[in-house]
Amino acid sequence: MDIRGLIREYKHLRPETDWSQKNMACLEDYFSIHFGTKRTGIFIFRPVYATLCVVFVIFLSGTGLAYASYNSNSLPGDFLYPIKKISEKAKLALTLGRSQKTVLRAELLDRRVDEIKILKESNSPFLGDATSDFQKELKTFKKEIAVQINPEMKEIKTNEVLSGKTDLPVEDQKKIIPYIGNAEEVKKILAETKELLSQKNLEVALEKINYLENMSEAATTTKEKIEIKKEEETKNTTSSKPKPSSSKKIEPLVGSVGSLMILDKESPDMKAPELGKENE
Amino acid sequence: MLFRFTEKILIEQIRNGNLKAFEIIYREYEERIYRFVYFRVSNRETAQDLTSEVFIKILDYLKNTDIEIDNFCAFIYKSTRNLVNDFYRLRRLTVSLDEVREVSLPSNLEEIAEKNIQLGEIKKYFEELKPEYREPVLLHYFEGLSYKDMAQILGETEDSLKMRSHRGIKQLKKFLKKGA
Repeated sequence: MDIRGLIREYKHLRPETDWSQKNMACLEDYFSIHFGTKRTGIFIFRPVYATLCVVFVIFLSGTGLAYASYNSNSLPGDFLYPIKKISEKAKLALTLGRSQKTVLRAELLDRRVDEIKILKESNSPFLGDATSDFQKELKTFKKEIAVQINPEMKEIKTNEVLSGKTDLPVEDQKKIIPYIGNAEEVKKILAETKELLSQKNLEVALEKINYLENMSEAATTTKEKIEIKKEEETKNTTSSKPKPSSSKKIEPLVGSVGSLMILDKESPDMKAPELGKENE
Repeated sequence: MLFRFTEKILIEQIRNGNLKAFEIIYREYEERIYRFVYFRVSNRETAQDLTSEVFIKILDYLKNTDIEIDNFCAFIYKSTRNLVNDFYRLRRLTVSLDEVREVSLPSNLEEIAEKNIQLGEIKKYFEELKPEYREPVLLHYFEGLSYKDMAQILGETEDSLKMRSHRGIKQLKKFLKKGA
């Protein structure tokens, strides 16, 4: 026997077809339970098709059409929005160099803020999803910068997850409604971060992103406070009585992109005051 | 073989709940991971269990983190290697005499026997190799991985792996000539 023969023998070590099919079925069930299977939308079916899509994007970039789709004004909920996202992902995948990728991510985040601003102005039902996506992308962006500063972080996180030590945040009984406030401030911070990343000043860039994240945490408010605010506004516009001086002061909804309102049914601190008593 | 950026797009799709994308990745890696594990553990059932576990761990990782995976091939092989090492570590701690004596009789004995002969043949030559040559030879020449991927999997430099795999394959050729 020669080396080729040995390699051929090795490649004959295959799993049984029965087991393979049963295993796939089990994994499909596992996938459905944990990911909530979605089969809709534009997605890549086959490796060759996937590669052709990317090649097509590269080809189109010569004609300017991919540029058009990448730079389109489509918003979450629009028919062409998935194409815009795929173009962005293809551009990210084709960008060489980690630092260049991170700068591109900052640009993409800035786009998300612009989209969210427009969705908010038009009271779009897709605002919540768009803001959640922004939150997710912000977290990924932050991790990317952190890993560039300390590559060992990626290793630790990988091992932690693979050893099954992941604890998902428990969100039972909580409804998270994303909220956007001062988008201009967020855009300013993102522009500064992008500048810092171009200068390879990663530590300061990470501080900026931490600040952005802290802003969103500080701006957390409760559904009851919003309802109280709405009631106050309604009463102020309809009532002729002067506003009592002892009326409950509603804290302003401190603006920052992606502020989350965490509604906790069980938390006693979040209990709404009884109607009418607030004006006593 | 999937291109790296194709895999990245598929991974993104999996994170978005696309089962079809996962099926493509599974079909691409199932045989390779099974073979890699089977070669290490020499037991069919254990190889099947560990192979399933690799994919479950991958799904858990994709579900629970947003970290971009630059090189999925290196990632899955590294995860597999870690799982096999954990398996052996646990086995050393928990194996009892009763387990050692236990003999399971699978239904398809002939097919198993044939596969075991194949495996036995290959392992016979590998066991003659120096330990530090075995993994580089297996991963590069038998699994077809690049030195760059291997460096990520084994946490070593490409140059060191190149040297060891070249020396290992030379030694293997010598043993094969002797055995012929």
